[in-house]
Amino acid sequence: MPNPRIKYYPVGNGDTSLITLEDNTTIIVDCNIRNCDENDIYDVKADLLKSVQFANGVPYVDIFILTHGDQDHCRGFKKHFYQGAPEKYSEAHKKEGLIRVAEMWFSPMIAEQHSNDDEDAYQQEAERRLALHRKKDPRKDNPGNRIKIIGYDGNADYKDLDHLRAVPGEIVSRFNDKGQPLFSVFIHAPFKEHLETLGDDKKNSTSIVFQARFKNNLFQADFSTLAMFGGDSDHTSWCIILEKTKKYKNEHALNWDLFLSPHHCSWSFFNDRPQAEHPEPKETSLEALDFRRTGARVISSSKKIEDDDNNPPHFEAKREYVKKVTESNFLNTTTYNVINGVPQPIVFEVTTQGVVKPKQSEGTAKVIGGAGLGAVNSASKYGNG
Amino acid sequence: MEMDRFRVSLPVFSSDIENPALRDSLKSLEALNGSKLQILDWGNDKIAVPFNIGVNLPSLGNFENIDIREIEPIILVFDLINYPLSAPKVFTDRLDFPKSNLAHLYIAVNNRPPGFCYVRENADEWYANKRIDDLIIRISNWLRDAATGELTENGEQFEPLRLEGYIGTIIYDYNSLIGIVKGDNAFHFKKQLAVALFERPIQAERYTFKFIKSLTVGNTFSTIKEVDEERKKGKEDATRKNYHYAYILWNEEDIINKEYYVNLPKSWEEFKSFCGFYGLDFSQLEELIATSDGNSFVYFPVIVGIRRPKAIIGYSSNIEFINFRFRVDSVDVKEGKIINNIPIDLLSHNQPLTFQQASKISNRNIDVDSRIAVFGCGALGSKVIIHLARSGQTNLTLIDPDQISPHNLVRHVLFGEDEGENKAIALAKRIKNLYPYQPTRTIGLFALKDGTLDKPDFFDIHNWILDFTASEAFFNKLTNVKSMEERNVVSASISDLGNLGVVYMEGGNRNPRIDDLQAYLYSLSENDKKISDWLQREQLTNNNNNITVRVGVGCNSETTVLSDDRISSHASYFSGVLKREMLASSKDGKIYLNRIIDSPDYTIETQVLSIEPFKVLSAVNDSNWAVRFKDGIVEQIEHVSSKAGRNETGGVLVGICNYKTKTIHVTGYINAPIDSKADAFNFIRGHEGLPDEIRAIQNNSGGQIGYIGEWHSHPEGPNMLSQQDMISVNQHKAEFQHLNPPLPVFLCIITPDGLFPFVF
Repeated sequence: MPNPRIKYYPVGNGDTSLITLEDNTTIIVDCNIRNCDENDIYDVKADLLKSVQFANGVPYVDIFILTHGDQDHCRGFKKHFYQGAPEKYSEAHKKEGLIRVAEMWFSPMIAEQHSNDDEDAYQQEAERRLALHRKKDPRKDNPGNRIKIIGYDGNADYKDLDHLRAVPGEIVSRFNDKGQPLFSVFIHAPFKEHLETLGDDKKNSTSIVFQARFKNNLFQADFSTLAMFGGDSDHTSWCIILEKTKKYKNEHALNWDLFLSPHHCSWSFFNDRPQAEHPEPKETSLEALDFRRTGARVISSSKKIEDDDNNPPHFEAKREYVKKVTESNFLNTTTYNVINGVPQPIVFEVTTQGVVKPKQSEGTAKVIGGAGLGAVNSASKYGNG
Repeated sequence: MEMDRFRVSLPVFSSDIENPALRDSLKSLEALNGSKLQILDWGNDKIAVPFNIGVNLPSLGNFENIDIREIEPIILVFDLINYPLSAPKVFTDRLDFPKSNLAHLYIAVNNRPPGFCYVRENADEWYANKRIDDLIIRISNWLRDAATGELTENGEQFEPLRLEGYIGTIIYDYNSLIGIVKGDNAFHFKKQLAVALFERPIQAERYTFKFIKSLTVGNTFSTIKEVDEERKKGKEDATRKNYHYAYILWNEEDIINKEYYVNLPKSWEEFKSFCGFYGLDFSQLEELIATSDGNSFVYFPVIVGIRRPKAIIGYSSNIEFINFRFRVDSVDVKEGKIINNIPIDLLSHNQPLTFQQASKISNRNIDVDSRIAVFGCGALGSKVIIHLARSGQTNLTLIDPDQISPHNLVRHVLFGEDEGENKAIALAKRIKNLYPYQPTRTIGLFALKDGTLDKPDFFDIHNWILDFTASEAFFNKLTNVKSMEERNVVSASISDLGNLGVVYMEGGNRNPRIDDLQAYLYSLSENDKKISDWLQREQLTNNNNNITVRVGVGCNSETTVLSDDRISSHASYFSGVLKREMLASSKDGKIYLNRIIDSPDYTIETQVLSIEPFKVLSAVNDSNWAVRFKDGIVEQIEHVSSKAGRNETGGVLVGICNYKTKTIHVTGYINAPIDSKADAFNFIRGHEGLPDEIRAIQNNSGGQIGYIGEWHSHPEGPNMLSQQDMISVNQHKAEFQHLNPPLPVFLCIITPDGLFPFVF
């Protein structure tokens, strides 16, 4: 069986990450799928269709985790993912390449805070599924109708659906109705305090935060890889995460090998913005970074980080990360690997020895050109004139 | 730093490189390297090119802290003449490379560093479709895998040493050797030392040792005697066997070693340090060799078992056996010691074939409980049998009275050495040799004892009965065997001058039976031109044969023209059919046809027919006669009768009658000719057009199907023949009994109670 993989797509300031397990189960965390009209944009959708599994010709992800509803975390959901009853997925949908979400993870309190077309579509789809569960429809447990409620309720009340719920401090090891002996997720946020804290950055700070935990075999004492995902969570969230996790003696859930820097390498992870007014990083944020293990990497899913006033990505924030992991282990999705001017995804393979770059693929001695060649798709001019 | 590199010991290569492919690859390599390459002399018309390779290392540190670095220096060795047909060899350039911890390294030779075993298959074949860039990628991935602990493809098992440069082969069953170590089936001459007898086939070109048996308390004395007997025979004696005693040495139970010793011993001195490395007590071996070696040949095998932390890949236990060939002459030993630095070579181990493995490789599940009786081990039979045997099905009872004659070798699976042997017995012997270390399951018989087929015992143990005899007598016998019911009976033969292969496979409860299937196939000639043409050709051939009388000359003739490939074509199809049916046999009867067409091009086509059970009735007046109706015929006649209402009606039946099996097969019927007359009490069957119709059927079937009897209805009963009926019967009888052969008078009446057959 192939090793699990974690892929961070280059989507500018935004997040799209794909976890692929040994059994090809796929978990997508957020999406920011932009139109590929411009030549320097990586075609995320095309790669997703190559990466996910198919059931009767229908492409599907096992899990969609939307950390929060900001546009740069759900852009393209409405257009590229199927919404509606799974049995109504048609040949036309197939042609469009609509990806079915077998099980969606939905945080009610986060849902209430955002509004854009994609977020609305996500919420509507969630409500469609919740309604099926609520009225105990016989189809409620079919793939495409499955849903997990993450965290607590906002205004709407889903108490009767508590069996679908996972709250901070819990470990989830069942994905799309399949137990995963070698993979689990520790949920850190959103927690109840998020309901009470009010502030400008509230919606950013209220993200699903989780630690993805990988093993390669059952006999391993420790995890092979720990990857932290936290949407746009800010320093106040991380302060609470640290406090609670320690309180319940779950320090192991703070360790990481891969840290997707929150809010695209924003200063908000370290302190309030603007940085000029709050130049000192919070102790708790720095402490969170100290839970890294050997050879840990920070991934900045953002535009190129320049020495300017942009935030995000924020230059000073990067400096703080680099202080912890060194320059070579700080990876920016826009600059990490650029081929013909197009940024490529950052991919890690999970081994018992931690993460490692995937194997390079060999070529062959025999070769042909394909229909997709630029030369084939454009005029070529010859002659002396 | 430079001093840690093997490259410093190599001289610079100063000649010109003329091989254009090599020059081209070196250019690519230089582009990858980013700077000029150093070209060194490896010797033997080979150049060595040092290269630094980048390696991706895992985040948490290397597996077991193995010392693999982000930049690894390697040496690429190119053959000046044979490149690129000969793939580059790749060695580490580091003298301190962690070689003893890694599988997939070749053992070091001639004081060179160990080489990377970078492809499972043949490296030259792999490189045929790769460029030098791909090789660099592969080596980089190899090192990455070594660092992540994934070099071994199966992490739960232990990768054995990669050995090269074998002088010969040793064949034994791994599990038998494990048994020897455990003491289950061997006497331990010393604490960790046992002896086994091996034979070296005289004709083998390579040095090959085949395991015969281990020495036990019970057999040691007799074995020594047996070996001495062979020794006494003259060298010219073809029956003389070359026996060698092999020594098996292993280490103590608690010495577990995971290291790879990449310098395997080439001499006694090196062997001793090898033993030291793996914690083996070589003095036991030395003492036995020096004091009481029973070998008359100077060469003999020594097998060394090393305990590994996990089971060896592909084997059941954690003991890895390394196989050596020692050369010890009488001058090499003195006072219990080996006094000279005797040479030692490596032998490669081959596992003898087992039927489980054969079945696995053939992608076939064998039903180990089923047993197959095969009648006829001629050209066709022997080929089908060997297909089954090679796929692991060895539960075979083979029966054939004939012996292998020289002309048989043109088409039979057996070879010249079996000339004069009984075909079944020789074939069984060959099959046993395929699986020499497993208990015999194949039995070859000259013949069955008289009456065996008439007793249920034989069929109780055989689930499948295969007939390849091409014998009509046996076909009849099989048809009439009463002692078998729930058995799968198959009769296969070749016809049409070797161009048509036919398999009759009976349905459940022996219905349709093989003779039903044959009658069915013949009856298709009415509408199927291919079958009709074949039967007509058969008729012609038979008639010709009748002119030049050749009594007793069948297919087993020196003059039968039929090539080996044609038989093989049929045999391979038949065996495919059988294997499939043996997995899940169908309820209906089946006829499989394999047709070779010679012109305009040589082509092969197959056809499968599925046949419903026949309706079987006994003659009302003589229950010795069975009447078997092709499916649907009785219903159709009944339908015609009921349509005639209160009037009688009738017609003619077509089919075949067989006196030997006392069976009448009805394969078709003809309605009343137009000049027939009928009322409620009488039916006069007319004949207008009837002769033409019968003639057509007869001609189309090459004389196999024809008029067989009559039918008429009694709309109001009775179920008996009337007086008038009997008059007609007697009239027919008067005519039929003078025919050669005579034809029985066969009459069926259809009444409201059903169909009633009568045979006179």
